Amino acid sequence: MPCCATKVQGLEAGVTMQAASDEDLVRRIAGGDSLAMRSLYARHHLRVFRFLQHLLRDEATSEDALSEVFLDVWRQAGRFEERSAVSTWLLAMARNKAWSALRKRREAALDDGVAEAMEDEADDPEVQIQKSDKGAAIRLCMEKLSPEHREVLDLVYYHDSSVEEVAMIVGIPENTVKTRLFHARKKLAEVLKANGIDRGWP
Amino acid sequence: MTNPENMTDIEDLLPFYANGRISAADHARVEAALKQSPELARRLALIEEERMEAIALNEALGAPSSRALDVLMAKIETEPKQAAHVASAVKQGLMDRLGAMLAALSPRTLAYASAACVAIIALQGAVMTGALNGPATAPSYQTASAIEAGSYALVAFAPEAKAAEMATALKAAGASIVEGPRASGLYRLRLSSTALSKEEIAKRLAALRAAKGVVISADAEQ
Repeated sequence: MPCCATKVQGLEAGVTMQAASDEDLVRRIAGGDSLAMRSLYARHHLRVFRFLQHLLRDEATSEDALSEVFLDVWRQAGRFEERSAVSTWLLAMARNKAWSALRKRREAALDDGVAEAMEDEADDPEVQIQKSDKGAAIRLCMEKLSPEHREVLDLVYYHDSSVEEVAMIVGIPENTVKTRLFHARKKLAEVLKANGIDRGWP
Repeated sequence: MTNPENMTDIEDLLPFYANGRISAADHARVEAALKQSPELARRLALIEEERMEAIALNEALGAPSSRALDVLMAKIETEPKQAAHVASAVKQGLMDRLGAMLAALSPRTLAYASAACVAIIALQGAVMTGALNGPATAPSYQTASAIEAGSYALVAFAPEAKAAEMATALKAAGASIVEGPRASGLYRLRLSSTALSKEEIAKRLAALRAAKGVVISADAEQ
């Protein structure tokens, strides 16, 4: 039996909660258990925040979105059907928040008459300096990718998502996941090459 | 086996081979292809390199401030409390609807409401007693201790317990939820509105504990 298989009374509540699975916590949250909410937040907030921040590139906006994601967990926990892992559910909600914020930002920029800044793939002095450190150059070039490409790379490389999970989080067919990942990697290789780092692929 | 078509297919799988999120069958296909193709192995090394840098990039992003959690918990405090798994069990009967309404109340509100109800009942009893017995020499009100009259228990339900199972366990023990879940996850049950004997309390608690897989712990409230 997951969670709380031991006698609860007399135990530190935190000790009991640590044994609970994510699904257990969501069930408890559906029952109004705010301690379970804190536990779920403690487990997942960092990765969700980083996913948001990598898309939004703004700490304050990312923190706001993070709060909203977990507020949605509180509100929707009773409707979570366990068709996916809790972490996938969280990332899918985070992605929706991030893209909603990105759209608003783009609209605001257009309203202000400011052209949307295009991803600059040209040679960049910062990257040039980093040529001696290939790893740093790859990181800088990853940052120059479009949000669509950044998110798929993040999901597969950092969040260890499967094809099915990326499809669920991003809302695209599974075959498109592979295609998009390929194009993200290809674009990364092109940006690196444009900055003098040719890795011989593609 | 690594013709160009297969090569593309296998190459698409490499990132998932690298992160370990691949089926056993695909894993075996990739392993076999890697043994045959040094070029594929070189491409896997590129993916590993990218993966390592993506992890480093994310790890460097830092953590959110405590503000995010503070904002979240403040918003949650203003949200209507949820007790879906309790409320969904009760869809019939006046008492059931009353139960659902009580389940939707916050523990603090519920405690106040319970206390108020007990006080009203006690007051009503006192008034009725006074009306039947005529003018009384003693003051016709109950002391504050009447609010806590009765026998109570603290119970932890299994997270996977279904509401119907919980309702059955409660019925078997003649108990009703008056508060919860508390922050510790415990529910406060009323076993009786009057003080029960130790033997009777033990019997009721045993009935609760007998609901294996539903009730995790049941103890008398001290």
